[in-house]
Amino acid sequence: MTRFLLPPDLDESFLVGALDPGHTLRLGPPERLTVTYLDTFDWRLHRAGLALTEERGRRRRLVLFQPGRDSFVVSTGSTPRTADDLPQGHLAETIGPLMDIRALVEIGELSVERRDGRVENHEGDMVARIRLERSGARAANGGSRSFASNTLRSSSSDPFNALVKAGGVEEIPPHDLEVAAEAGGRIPGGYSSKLRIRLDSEQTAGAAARTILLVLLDTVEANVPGTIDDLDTEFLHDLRAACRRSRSALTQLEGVLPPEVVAHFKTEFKWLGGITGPLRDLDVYLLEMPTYRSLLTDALAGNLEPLEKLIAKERAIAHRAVARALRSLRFNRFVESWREALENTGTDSAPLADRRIADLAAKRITKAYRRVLKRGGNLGPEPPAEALHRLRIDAKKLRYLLEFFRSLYPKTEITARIKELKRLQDILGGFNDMEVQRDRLSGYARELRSDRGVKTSSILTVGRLSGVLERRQEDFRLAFHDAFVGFSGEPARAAFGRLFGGKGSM
Amino acid sequence: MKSLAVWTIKGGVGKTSAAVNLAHAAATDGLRTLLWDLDPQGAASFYLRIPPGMEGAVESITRKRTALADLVLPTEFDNLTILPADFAYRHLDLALDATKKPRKRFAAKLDGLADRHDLVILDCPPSVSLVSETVIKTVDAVLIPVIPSTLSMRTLHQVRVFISEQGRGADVLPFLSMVDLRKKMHNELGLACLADPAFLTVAIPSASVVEKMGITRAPVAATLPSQPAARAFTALWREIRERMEI
Ligand SMILES: Nc1ncnc2c1ncn2[C@@H]1O[C@H](COP(=O)(O)OP(=O)(O)O)[C@@H](O)[C@H]1O
Ligand SMILES: [Mg+2]
Repeated sequence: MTRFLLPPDLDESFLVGALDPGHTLRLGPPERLTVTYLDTFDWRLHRAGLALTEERGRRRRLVLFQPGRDSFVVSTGSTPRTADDLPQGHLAETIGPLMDIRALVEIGELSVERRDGRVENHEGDMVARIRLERSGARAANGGSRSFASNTLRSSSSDPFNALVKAGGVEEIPPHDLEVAAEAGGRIPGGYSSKLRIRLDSEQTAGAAARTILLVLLDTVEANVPGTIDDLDTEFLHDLRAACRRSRSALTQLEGVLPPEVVAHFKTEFKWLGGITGPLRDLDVYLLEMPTYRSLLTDALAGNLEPLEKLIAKERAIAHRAVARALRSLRFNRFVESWREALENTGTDSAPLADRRIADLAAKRITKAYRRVLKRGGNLGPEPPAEALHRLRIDAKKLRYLLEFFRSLYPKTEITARIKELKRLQDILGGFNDMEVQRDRLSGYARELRSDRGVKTSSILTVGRLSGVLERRQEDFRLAFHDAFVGFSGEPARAAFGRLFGGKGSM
Repeated sequence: MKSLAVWTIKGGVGKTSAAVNLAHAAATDGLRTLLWDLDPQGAASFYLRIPPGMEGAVESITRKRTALADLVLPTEFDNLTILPADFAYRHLDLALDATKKPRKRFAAKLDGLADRHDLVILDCPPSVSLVSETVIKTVDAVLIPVIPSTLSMRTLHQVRVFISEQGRGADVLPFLSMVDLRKKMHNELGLACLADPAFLTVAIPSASVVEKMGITRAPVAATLPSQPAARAFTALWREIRERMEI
């Protein structure tokens, strides 16, 4: 279907006159619709070139726009939230994998008056399928009508050749995502879970630190409503990641911001991390449940139900606590004063605030890198859990630094270094996850045991699961050695040295 | 992608009416549906207001390099597209006969439609020919309209023999077409048919709204969705969907 923007005053009678000779316009009755644009909070559909709407009129339908194809339409009983809610078939197959664990959220809403019809030739054959629409949107702040358009869709532009030639119409994209997003106060592609920080090498360390921390604060704030409304688990995940990164930045950029500012906000971030931690752990559990089930035989997997119920119950409690914290005065004061502190540039009284950021970044990265090399190098082929844990923390600090300062380095080079590090981190992280999960599992086993209603078989299954996790953890431990050799080998070290200075002595 | 041919050796038994209405029902149900009008007379195309005639219709089937997908046209309905009939299809038999491994070629052509469609419904001409043989050997299921009469029952038997002779286990899905419950014979034979477990249980009633498709040039459900015949086609589609595991 080609879509044209018509002059606002153009109505059907004008179109009839504009048709090429021998053609007749047949229009059905008008229909009023509310059209809601949907996407994940981080724009996964938009990034893939797709757009999804829910139309509510005489019927309730989902419409998927795909580049180069006709839109796909399917009835729905309710607004889908998760990938599991999608009606089976083409829609679920196309967007389900993209959404993964993210929920669909409302991007914005348009009201549409629509007339469907066709253009016929003198034999009554369809020459083109057409759709006339008048759309309007209200501004996000509830103000007056901020947008109105008059459009024509046609499966063929042939019958409208004269109109097109006369120049009265303009071809436009097949959907109004941009407009709907504006109405909803969003910018298409405007949020990503990936850290996107743009720095300038000549900037002062103070200015760069503020930029980094402001981006992270934006991320924290952007994810608050979705966390409170519990739309999906990624809101909290991203919020916590930004919180951890902020804390890490405050520590690792020591001397760049005033010490009393650092001290105060570090405490606040620590509080936020602590208050949200239990909920995240429970989320991880529920997300892992399908994997757990797949690790057990079918007969045993059924026994996990009491565990799942227990976790779901605890999760509800943990979520209430998080929501309460995010609505609290303390939290709101914290983010407000943090923003104020970051935006207020006049008061930098820190020893390193005026250093060139490129110099400081290279220095801090090199230091963090050396620490990882040293600690990792001291470990034998079967390192103890405690040592791997400490190395994991060091690697994470290095990772954060690389990501903060990514824009200061050539893209392919820095990306390659991050990738090498990530490979090591995946193993350290996997090892740690197993540790944490086993730990919690034994706690759950105790709780289940004290509940008379729970069958012994369920408790034994939890024990069995713990054994499976232990073996997986062992696999991670064994994989560590090779991964570290890859990370710390001569070629990798040389590449690191080239990028961040620090000479060949590393 | 699944494929369903509507075929029998008799004409005038409701093949095209079924093909068009079922395709519309499938599209409404959220399947990207292609109606392939293989009958050179082009009745299915006519019902959807699509003029017959496509440049290279036969070649797009028999030649390896011409893409069939390029000839697919939109219809007036969401998710429903059509490969219109062409009068040249009357020579399709000869053209297929001149093709090396016609069945393999035809199967490859159907495969070429799979990335954009979930279901293809083929409206076949009522003949025993290389075309029908090739189609039957390729599709997942063959839908067979049966009017409750003794003659039709014999025809169904012949059709089943013919399909089994093709040596490929396409599902055979007979259904009762143009049933008039006021007629005693329709009642008796209809009941007898439904005792056969292969028969679809939904019967299509004889109804003037189906006849009038020649005037409305639209599927019944698009113009008169609450008519019994429209509901029957939807119910028949649902049953087919279940039987074909779509
Ligand atoms: N259920 C029905 N009730 C009444 N008339 C029907 C019905 N089905 C088909 N017809 C009519 O019977 C004639 C043949 O139907 P058609 O679908 O073209 O059969 P075929 O494709 O098998 O030749 C057409 O005139 C059609 O309108
Ligand atoms: Mg026919």
